[in-house]
Amino acid sequence: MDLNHLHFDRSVPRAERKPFYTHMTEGFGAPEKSILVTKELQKNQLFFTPLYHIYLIGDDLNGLIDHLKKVQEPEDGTILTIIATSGSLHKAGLPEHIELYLKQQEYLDHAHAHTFKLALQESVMNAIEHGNLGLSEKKKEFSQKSDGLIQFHKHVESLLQEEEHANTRVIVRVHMQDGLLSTSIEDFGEGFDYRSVMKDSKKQAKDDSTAGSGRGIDIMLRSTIHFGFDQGGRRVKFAVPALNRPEISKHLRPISMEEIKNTSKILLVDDQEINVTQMKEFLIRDGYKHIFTAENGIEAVKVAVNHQPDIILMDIIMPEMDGFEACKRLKIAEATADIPVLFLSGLTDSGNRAQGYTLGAVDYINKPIDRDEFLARTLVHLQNGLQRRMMRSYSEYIRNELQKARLFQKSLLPDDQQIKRMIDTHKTYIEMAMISCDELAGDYISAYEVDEEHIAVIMADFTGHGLSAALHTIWLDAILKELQSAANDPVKLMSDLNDNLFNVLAVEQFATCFYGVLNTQTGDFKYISAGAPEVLHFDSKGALQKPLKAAGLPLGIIPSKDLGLELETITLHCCDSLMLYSDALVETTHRGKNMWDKPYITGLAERILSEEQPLLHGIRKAFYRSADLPLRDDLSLMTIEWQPEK
Amino acid sequence: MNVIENGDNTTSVILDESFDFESHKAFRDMIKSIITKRPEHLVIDFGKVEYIDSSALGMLMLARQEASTIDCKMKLINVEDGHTLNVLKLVKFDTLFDIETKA
Repeated sequence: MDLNHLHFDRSVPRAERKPFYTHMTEGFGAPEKSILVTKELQKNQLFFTPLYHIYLIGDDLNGLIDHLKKVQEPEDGTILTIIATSGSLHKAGLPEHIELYLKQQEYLDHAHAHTFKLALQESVMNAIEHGNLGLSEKKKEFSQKSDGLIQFHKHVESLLQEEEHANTRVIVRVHMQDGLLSTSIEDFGEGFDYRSVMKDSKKQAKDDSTAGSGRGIDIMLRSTIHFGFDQGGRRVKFAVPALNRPEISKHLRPISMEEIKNTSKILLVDDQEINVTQMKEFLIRDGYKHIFTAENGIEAVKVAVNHQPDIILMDIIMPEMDGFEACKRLKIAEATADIPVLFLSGLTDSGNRAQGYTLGAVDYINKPIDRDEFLARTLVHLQNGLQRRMMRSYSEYIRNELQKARLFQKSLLPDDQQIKRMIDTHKTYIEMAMISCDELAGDYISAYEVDEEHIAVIMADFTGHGLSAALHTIWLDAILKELQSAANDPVKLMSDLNDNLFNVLAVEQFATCFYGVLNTQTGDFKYISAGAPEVLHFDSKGALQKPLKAAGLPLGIIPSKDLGLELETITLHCCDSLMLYSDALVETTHRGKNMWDKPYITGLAERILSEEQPLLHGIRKAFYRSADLPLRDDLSLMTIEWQPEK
Repeated sequence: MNVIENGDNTTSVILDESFDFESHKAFRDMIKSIITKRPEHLVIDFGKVEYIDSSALGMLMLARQEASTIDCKMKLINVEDGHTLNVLKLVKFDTLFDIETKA
């Protein structure tokens, strides 16, 4: 899946956006477009959405937040801000990602994309090597040798293995200003005497010399606009021409009256030529450009199919086929059903009018025609029609975007290889399912190998629905990867997770979470539940065992020190099963009203297990058989079966 | 959702049958406007509630936070001793909120 296609519309009013990282963004301007890129970045993990923050959080989240608070450069036209660590930036291929994104979003055309990418690559390398690592002198030394540059790059790579170097920051900002795509790259090094270097470079540029200053400055000076440094040399700026595009989304934008008149196609239908001529003249004088005519109903239907007018103004009484019949046919055919029909009529009795509306007409214009009324009604219905079409295309677009986000969310599930390893090495059969509701939701399930003797399972559910809940799960996945070293220590892992969530989530957002680690040699299962639904434990015969402790405050509500996380332990015996599920299993109605309660679920599970059927499959099948769809919330299921002796 | 301002500096919010994601915006706006009037007590009445989901828990946290900024005491009343109470207890909200069950 190409995640670079994942983007969201920026026309959603700010007030309607979900709160997310709000406090990270004080004084930061256009914060909804910021991206954090930190340690352990996989190339395909990076995706952009301008509507929300995207975040691949590193180990030093608090440091990043503190830093963000200090950054002062609100820019109205900010397209994106990326805060990245040197280490991740060096690996991530970020310039390509940014270039691709800007092209897809139609900020950047192909003609300038290459220049942009090269300048960005050069600047990012400079920021890491000369800025954060302070290697200017070193590079000169290296470049004396024959394979010096290769050696130099090896040196850079080895330095970036060290945490203190890898975690220094680089901030990349792209914003739109006066038709230019202005870009700045800021490092946190010592800076340098850019004034004298610039002077030399400018002179060289004038002399058309190819000698370089060591920072690629000459090339950028020549190929980009407004190239320069500030912040004592810590920040470089350049610009390339932006693609000429309207700032507001193509889906929802105000339409001028002039545009409507220039582009709308109008079909006039009347058997009286004098009427047609008169209406046509009204319209042309008022600025309309595309007018079609027809003499009767049959002709009207043909013209409508062929030319797809934006509106049809039609007489009722006509030879061959009258207006009512024509309207009926237009509304039946898919190609013409959405075209608004207005009747022009001298018939004033309400029965006639009602018939017209029943057939799908939107309005009546009285005959004899009053010019002002005629033009006003035509315009209003054209505007409505356009708005309707735009809304439709917008909702289509959003639906596609959500679908992509959903796929991304699902891609977080462990792959077959990981599952197979848990079977081969750990004799543990893990099955997972996520049944999506109509919209995005905040469920997260995963299982992974901790070491040769342990595997970890996690199920979390963020409050609320929609994109923000879904994005939280992606973020959770990233944090979990960062917390790998604590994977065998549920208390530490959950505390760290909680602190991360507590620091960044809005007050009404939090996550219920279950985390457990199974020792696949002994069957010891240690776990913590933070308000997650009760995990069910069955023995090899399918009999329900003592319930696992479930109650606990969800993560992200209070600081870890006050959370009182308690580690619980049970011991599994051969062929025991655990079943984890999200709220939707107990909160979904079946055939109208009834919900599955715990006795029902355990009874069902016991029956499935006693018949030696796969538990997850059986539960899912039974659920689908009677659940009222679409679901109100995602349903996540996970079953774990430990079979050391099989 | 209805708001009743009692004489004794207490404001009650009577929740509808479903207290879930759908009610999010209305509840949020309502709480914000209640808080501007600085009542001393905020009562959330669950008498009619038949269904709550995780968003509801978020909304309660939001109300708690807003109430705490003006030192207003918050209480959940008429909570049905079944699904709703179970959900609240599962996430230990009984440690964060004063909860009274339905008589």
